[in-house]
Amino acid sequence: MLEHGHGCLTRREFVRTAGVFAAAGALAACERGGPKERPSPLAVQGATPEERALNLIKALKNEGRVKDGDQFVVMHHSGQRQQLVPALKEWNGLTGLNFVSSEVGLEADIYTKAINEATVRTGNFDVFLTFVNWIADLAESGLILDQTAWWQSYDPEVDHGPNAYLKPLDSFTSLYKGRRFSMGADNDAFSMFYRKDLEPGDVPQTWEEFDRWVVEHNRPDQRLRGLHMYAERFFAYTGWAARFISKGGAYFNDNMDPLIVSNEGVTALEEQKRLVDQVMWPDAVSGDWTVAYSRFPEGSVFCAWAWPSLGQWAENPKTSKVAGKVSAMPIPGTMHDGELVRAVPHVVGWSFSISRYGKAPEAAYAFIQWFCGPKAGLEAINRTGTLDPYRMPWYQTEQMKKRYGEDLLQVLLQMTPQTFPDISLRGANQYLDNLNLNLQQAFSGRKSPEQALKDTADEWQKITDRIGRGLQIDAWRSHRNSYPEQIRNLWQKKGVFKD
Amino acid sequence: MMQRLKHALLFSDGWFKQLLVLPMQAVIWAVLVVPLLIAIYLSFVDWEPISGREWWQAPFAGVANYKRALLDPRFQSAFVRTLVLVLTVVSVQLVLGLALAVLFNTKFPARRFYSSILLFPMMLPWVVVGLIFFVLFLEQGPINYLLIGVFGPDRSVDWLGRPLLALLAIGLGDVWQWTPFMFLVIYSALAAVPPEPIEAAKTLGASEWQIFRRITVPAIMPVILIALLIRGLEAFKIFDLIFIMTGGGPGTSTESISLYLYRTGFVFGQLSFASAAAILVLVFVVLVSWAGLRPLRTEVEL
Amino acid sequence: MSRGRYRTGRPWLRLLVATVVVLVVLGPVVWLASLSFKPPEEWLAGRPTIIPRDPTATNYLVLFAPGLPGGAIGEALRAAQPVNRALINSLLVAPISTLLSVAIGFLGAYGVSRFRVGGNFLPFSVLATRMFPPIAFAVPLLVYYRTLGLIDTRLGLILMYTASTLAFSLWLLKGFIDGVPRHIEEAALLDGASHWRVLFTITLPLVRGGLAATALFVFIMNWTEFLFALIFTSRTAVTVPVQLSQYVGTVGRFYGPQAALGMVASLPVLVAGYAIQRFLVRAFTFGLVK
Repeated sequence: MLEHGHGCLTRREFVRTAGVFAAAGALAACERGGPKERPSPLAVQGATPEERALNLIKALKNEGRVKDGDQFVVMHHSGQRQQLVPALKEWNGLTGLNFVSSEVGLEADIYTKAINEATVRTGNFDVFLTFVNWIADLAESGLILDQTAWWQSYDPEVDHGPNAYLKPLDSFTSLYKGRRFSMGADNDAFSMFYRKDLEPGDVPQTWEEFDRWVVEHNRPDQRLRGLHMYAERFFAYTGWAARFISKGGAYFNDNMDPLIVSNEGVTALEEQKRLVDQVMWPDAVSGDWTVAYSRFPEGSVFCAWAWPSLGQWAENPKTSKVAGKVSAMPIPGTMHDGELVRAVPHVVGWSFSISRYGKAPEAAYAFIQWFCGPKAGLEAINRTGTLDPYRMPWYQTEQMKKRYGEDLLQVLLQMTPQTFPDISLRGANQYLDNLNLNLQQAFSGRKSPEQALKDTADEWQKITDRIGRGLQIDAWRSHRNSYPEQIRNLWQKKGVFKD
Repeated sequence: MMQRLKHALLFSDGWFKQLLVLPMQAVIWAVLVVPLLIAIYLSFVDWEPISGREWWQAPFAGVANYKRALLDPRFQSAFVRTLVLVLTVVSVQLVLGLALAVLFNTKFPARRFYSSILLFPMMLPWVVVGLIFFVLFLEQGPINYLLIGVFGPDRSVDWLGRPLLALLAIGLGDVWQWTPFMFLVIYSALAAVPPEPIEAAKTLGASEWQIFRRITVPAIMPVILIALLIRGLEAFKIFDLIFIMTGGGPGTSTESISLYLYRTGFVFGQLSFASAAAILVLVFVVLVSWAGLRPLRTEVEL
Repeated sequence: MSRGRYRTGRPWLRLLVATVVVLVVLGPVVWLASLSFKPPEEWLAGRPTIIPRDPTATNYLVLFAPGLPGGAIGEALRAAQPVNRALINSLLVAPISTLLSVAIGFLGAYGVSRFRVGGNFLPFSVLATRMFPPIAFAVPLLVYYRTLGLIDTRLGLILMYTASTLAFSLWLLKGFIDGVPRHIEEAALLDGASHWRVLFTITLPLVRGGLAATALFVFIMNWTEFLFALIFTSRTAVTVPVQLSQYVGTVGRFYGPQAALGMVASLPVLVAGYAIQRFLVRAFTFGLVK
């Protein structure tokens, strides 16, 4: 390649060795067959989801499809270690199976590793606990199984009965193209926390009032900043999206042309950028999502925007200097003709999916039904971690009130119905990554807000064309119907969509 | 003549010599040639794992992937950024390394001990160097503490959050780790310069600077060229340091070419596109090494 | 070798400059070492200190036995993952691939040095494997390894590391073998000894030192490799550098244990590096500079 000396000898030698490797490759390829066929569900009795899950394992054992000591691997983020690992131990004790945890330290790596698994099919993983907006990609790549039939036979009690999930989590965290591809184990309606010791009075209702409010409480001389909202690598879009959607914006029209380079989009970004410049610590841009989890509990910000789990860290005296001084407030909104429209992003939403290439997918499913059950799930959520309560009755329990603070639970009950889903289309990760990168450039002053959104829109068009516009149009049309009614009415008034 | 003939006769066992290089050939094929062929194939088809198709069933895409890569501003800027970073850090390393080598080529107490301490950084794992510089440049880290101490409060700098500063921090990490390499190479080259011409020049009344310019530098030039080429090619691969320190952020402002390929290929699973982009990079590296190795080959005895 | 050719300036001034340089070199490492002995409150303390105010070995303990220490530190650190598996993987993968790489490289180097097999093309194509950015080979290798079932296995890493360090082994050992006078081998061959016999009883003992230096250097490369390990392992074959990167991004950031693991990861390569100090120039330049 670099030098042609006595090349002929070498090349002959090359050809000989190539034969050996080709043969090895062919042999290995033969051994790996296609995905395993799934037999029809078994008849299983039991009064609760947990009981049915345990009975399912018994039935599977009777059929000889699993046996004691079989290993199952659950891929999850390290933020869930304390919630998941003890549950795995308990489950193993109940079933005799051997479920083990495989922890990933960086959320984005979970997607990478899952997509890798879709490519390489090692069968090393049985259960994935991932962001819900990755489910589309995981499903389309053939990695994960459609759980609908199992839901029908074994009933995890997600969308009905006294133990149902808080609406609309039951659909947000499980449905893709109308089928159940995942089971949610989290409520990730974004929440706004503030220091009630510094501000005992009323909280602002609109974004305009809110912006003035946090500027008033900005005290850099006392090492106290007014606000932490994400402007970092993976979640910079959350704050922008909350404003954008509440102004009546929509990500796409029905031809999947982006609508973000609009008055709503640009104003939302300008407002957000002003706060980044004025009242936030620099690590809002340079840090990661954990910044909120250290800044707010240490008392260096007045107000913080994060997942509900921040409540656990803020209310726990062991991890927080502000325990007992914390309250939560409804996410601000925008006034439209005297009506206040709030839009709450539902972001991440850890959800369980089942690998097609695992040893016994149905047994893996039994575990997630058990783990998300009304009783076992509550025990898990009651340990510190990034999974937050998702079943309705849990919001009334004393443990949860103590753990999260009563204010937050009330706000969550009020706000969860106002949540809108993440972009949950194929390529969601690519859409959001481009958006984040451009927003970050706007925040750091390298692009004007309008330019950043324009560049994003250009990239989005390319992504859509690459994945297939027709497919995405269909998916988007059904996806936009899962937005809260108030927002859909607003779209209708503005004539965003034709129907 | 006799000697060479004897050697040729004795070392002409065809079966034996082929056996010697067989394992090496196998490895070259397994990890260089076959993957390269697969990469070329992938770059001309349209395949992503999320398409749900097998890679050998992917539709032919012509040069679409190459076109997309060449027109992708993120690819272009990652490429240019990497080149600029490499040129900057390698020249800084050369200057510092040369200065240190000259310094350590003089006599002073503790010279030997100090010179072995200088080797420290380049033996650390890259990941650890990344970790060290990440911690040093944190907003609440020691560098900012020093800045506040010297220039007063509110002088803390968001190193890893500002595009140019983050690149500077990464560059400093690389310079810290690899200046010792330049130092070491030049130091040993200096030691090997024959003393006679220098003594002769001294008796003729040449100044230190003239001796350095006219005798020492030409004598160590070939070694410096090799060191520059090797360091340049190594620096071009930069990944670990950036992955740990900034992950390419803020935005894409510290994304190197390796990180870009990692992200498109492995984070977003666009394997066909990543293959095309990788092949473009390969072509570039081959051209540079080929050009760089030309003068080098005359130095290497083969 | 005559040192001290330039005599301008005062030695004490030079000592001062050199001392500053050495401090800059050592500073960051000292900081890491200090961080590894600090309790959580001091990780990002307002006033950083070199000597921990309240030194603790907890950061090291939690790495290898999580849940052992109690109290607030234990609470904060319990989420960290034990590194035992990563350490075992690294301790298996790095030495085995080093042995393979040096063995294959030695045979190849002998062939190239004595028989000139493959002319210039062969040694330079091996060199090329090291010049190319590894990421360029990662995509096809992923597809290829999948077919062979080598993803997330130690064997897969061993093969990859053997291959990627072969350039060093070949070129370094070629340099050492070139340095062995041929007439010794020729005499033995004329006496009727077989080629294998000559190779193992004459050449091998003569380049023993070179083999050891090469092996240590290749070990450094294998022990510190990150990119391939990051891409090709997910669970069973994770190595120490990958494990280290995994501590970034967990809740509350475990700077202390991360620093401790950084120290643990650095120790073997520092020992190896200083053992072959004499050969470092050669090693880092593939023996192109001697």
